[in-house]
Amino acid sequence: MSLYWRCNSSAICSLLALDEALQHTSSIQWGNRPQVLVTIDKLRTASLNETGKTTQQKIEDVKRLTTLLSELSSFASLPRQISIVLEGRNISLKLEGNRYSASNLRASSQEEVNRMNAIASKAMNELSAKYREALQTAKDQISRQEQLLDGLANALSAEELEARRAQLSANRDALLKANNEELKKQEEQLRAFAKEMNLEVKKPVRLGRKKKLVFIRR
Amino acid sequence: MLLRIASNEEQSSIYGPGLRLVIWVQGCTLVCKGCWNTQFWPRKGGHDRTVESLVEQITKTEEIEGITILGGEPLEQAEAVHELILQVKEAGLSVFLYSGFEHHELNDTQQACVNASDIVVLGRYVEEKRDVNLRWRGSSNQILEFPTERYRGIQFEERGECEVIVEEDGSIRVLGYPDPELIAFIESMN
Repeated sequence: MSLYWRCNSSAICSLLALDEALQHTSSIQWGNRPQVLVTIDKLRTASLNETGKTTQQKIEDVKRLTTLLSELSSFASLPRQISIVLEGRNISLKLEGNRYSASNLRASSQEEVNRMNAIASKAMNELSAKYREALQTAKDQISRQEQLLDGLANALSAEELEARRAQLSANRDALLKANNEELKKQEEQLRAFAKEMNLEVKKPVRLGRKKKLVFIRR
Repeated sequence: MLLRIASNEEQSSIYGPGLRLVIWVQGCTLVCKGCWNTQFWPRKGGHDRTVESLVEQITKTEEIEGITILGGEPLEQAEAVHELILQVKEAGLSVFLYSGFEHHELNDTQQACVNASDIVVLGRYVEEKRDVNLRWRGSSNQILEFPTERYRGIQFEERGECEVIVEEDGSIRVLGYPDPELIAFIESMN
């Protein structure tokens, strides 16, 4: 009979979404959370603490934050190396292509290698799922915040309204950019694999926001 | 009338002629060795849909020339499947039916499903006879029949096809008859 098969697969293109995903993943944690994420935390806190600030200062805070957020949502700005903790072991992951992978794992036996591979595979599946959830949740939050902001239109000054709308818009742009980069990378990988396997790829069909590629083996 | 279904896919191009809405039913007791869709074996999974709601979805789906029913084992829900086939045909669409049963195993209702369909693939999936170069079939023992005039005489090229669907959130599904290497590759894309 025919196959109906599903797997979790995500290329990690947004460090922000990866950070969010790691906070909700039980089997894998940051070994050394990149400093830039700490900086973002501070900027976020600063932009929320508006006491005693002029509108101009608030706008500047938001601009700094959104600029950094936008930069970080680019695949090109991902750190070349990150460190994670898996099952109590510190593992260094290097960015190769659009995947982080460990190349310096040491194990005492083949059984240990197999065991670690199984654990890593499970953890990465969990991380992929959480990563996608984090991206979707972030998009939903932005939509909700925009609706809230619309309701506050009469209570805020024109400058404040503009600054907050700009922040939401920049965050949305950053997320969409990350999402689009991820999808583009995935398609590139799939096409490269098809070429390697000598499979024909029919012109892709777009249905709403999803894309279908048909692979043909002759 | 209720049909227990596992999933459906609108506008697929690999399960028969043209674009088709594909329905995987839930539940199969044939348990073929090497079956790819073991998640569709238990009758407990999936969800119930009324035939009427399915027909409504089908007739609203743009650009399709028919439906394909597979599973699971469609003919283990033959009454509902028969009703679905009749209503879809009445709407002017074609029906492609998959079943793991062979002719001599069919009861009257199951035979009526086969007779009313425009294309059928019959026979168990046999792992030892798996052939990824076949069109619309998974193993070489499965037979392709054209019970009605609609597609009789149709020219089609034998070739393996699979559909890779990249969802908006980056998750990937593969439908059809992929090479094992493709599955391994997608799994490695995590």
